[in-house]
Amino acid sequence: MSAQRIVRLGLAIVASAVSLALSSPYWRDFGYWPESRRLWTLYFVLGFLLAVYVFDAFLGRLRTLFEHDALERATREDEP
Amino acid sequence: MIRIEYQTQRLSLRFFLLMLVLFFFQAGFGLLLTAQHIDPTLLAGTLNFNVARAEHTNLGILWVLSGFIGAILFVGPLLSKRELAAPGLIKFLFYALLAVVAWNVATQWLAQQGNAGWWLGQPMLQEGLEYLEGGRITDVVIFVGFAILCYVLLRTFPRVSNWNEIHWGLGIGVVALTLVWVFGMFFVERLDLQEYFRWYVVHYWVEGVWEVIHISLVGFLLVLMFGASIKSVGYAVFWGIAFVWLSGLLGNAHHYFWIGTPEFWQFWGSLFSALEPLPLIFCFWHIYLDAHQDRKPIGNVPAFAFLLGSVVLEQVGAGILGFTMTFALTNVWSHGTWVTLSHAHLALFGTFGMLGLAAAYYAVPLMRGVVQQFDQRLGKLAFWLVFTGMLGLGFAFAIGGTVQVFVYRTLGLDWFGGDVAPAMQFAKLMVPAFGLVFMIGVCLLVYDLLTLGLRAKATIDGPAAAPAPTGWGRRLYGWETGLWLLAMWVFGAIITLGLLSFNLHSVQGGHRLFPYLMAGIGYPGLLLTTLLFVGRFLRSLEARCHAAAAQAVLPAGLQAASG
Repeated sequence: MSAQRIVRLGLAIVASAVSLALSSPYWRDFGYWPESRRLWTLYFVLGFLLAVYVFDAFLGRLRTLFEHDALERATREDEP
Repeated sequence: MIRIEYQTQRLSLRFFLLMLVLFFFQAGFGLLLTAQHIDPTLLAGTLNFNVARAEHTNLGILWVLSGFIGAILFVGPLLSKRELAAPGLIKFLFYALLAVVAWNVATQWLAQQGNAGWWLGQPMLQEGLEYLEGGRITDVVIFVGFAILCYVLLRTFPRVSNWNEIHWGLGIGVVALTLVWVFGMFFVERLDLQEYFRWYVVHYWVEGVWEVIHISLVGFLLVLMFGASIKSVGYAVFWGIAFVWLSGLLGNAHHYFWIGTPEFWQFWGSLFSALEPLPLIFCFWHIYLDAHQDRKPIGNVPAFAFLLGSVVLEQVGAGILGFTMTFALTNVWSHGTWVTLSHAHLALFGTFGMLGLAAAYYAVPLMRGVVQQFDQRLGKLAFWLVFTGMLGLGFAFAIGGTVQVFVYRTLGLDWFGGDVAPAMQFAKLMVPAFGLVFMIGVCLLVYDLLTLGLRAKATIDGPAAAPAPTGWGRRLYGWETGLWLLAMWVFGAIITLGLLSFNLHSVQGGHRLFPYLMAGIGYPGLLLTTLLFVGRFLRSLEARCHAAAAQAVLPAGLQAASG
């Protein structure tokens, strides 16, 4: 795994963790599935993993956007 | 593009003009509402506040849709390299839209009489659902209108195998526009379920469908204005849409917090809506990069100003202000208060309204054949008036909303008993003040676009009148843009902290210093940063004309030496 990929993933995990912390529900009794704490845990973990994926994809695609721009700029400058 | 390439593009003109007329009346109703807020007896019994408000919100949706239709019809032939299919149907669509507008405006008054026009178990005349107040007859006509738009666009487009990302974005956008509308077309007796489907239409439209159309149109307008490559714009459009759906489809659950839907939505609704600004940040960088791809002078400043305003207010109004109130822990306080109004005005007018105005400023001069001798001064002035006016309105609503949350939600004082209104009085006075600035801008831009190419030609400033490429007009680099964006988000974080602080026992016990301080720093900081950033961005682009003029008068030898 390249250093850039590790940094991107690290940023995605931190950003998702902050989002997760801010997303604490207003209700505190976990009342919808009262019989299964495991289901609640799964719900939180799945949400976190999906958020990491979205952040990671975002950072990766933003980088590519800048790379495209640099390539096009170079092509324009090469043109007579 | 300096002239109209396909004659059917001209069919878009009538939709742009209708957009302007509706925009004028919508803003007028807005001003009336600000007066009724100050004096609740104003026109009571004649034009009640709830009716005027329904007219304001409905006209807001109708003029945005009219702008979308105009923009889609204008770019459709360019994307397809052929004339629009079924021009007769497009003319019919225009008259259907006129009929819907007239019907909608006329029937809102019936709400005051308690008459919904019940027939066959349906409210035929008006139904009192916020934003979707038109009755079932209107709903059916709108559905037919959307179906016509789908048919025309998809028939105009080339074979699917030849579609690029912009075709896909617009194609999916108009089909989804039609399908999601269906959820607002039936009556459910259970109020919570009816509310669920109302949110379904209003918010899946805005955050799932309109955003897709917005991204696609912004992309193509950048291609037209800056000659950006379709390939790289297509990449940005594809991923912009992908991020809208990756975040927004689940994130839309932030509207399910308090309407009777299961409690578990509070977590995923908060988490995924926190990701909703990502596509907007993506779009923000996309417009920066494409506008700076070459350093050629910008031909049509008002069109680009409105396009930039659309993307920046999308970032600020929908992205940052949306983020601040999207968590269950902040939304529980801000929901249904003026804090939401601040977000709604900046996001709806900014993102979608300004896009329609940008498309109109691009298309109308072309259709009126004045692109070469187009006096842009009125357009630029109108842009600054509506942009500043709207930021001011956002500020007034946000400050009023913060007071409202404290007095109404945390202290639990009476709304109807008259405790809240005096506390919000200062903000209530700021709204018409900024509203007036906005209205003057609206009048100017409506006058400008309606009469462009028809009024006497004015003297047009030459390139030398453009700002010098120094100081505020120097080139805007990526790192500086990043700093502006960061500053906006820092102020957004301060606002979020302020809203979160309403959960503190001390605040609920009557200590208002912290939330007021955070709002007092966050909102003006964010809105001023936005204003300055747009000023800086536009100034640097306008300075290109100056640079180009200077380059043109340099002797050939000097030009070679300057490289």
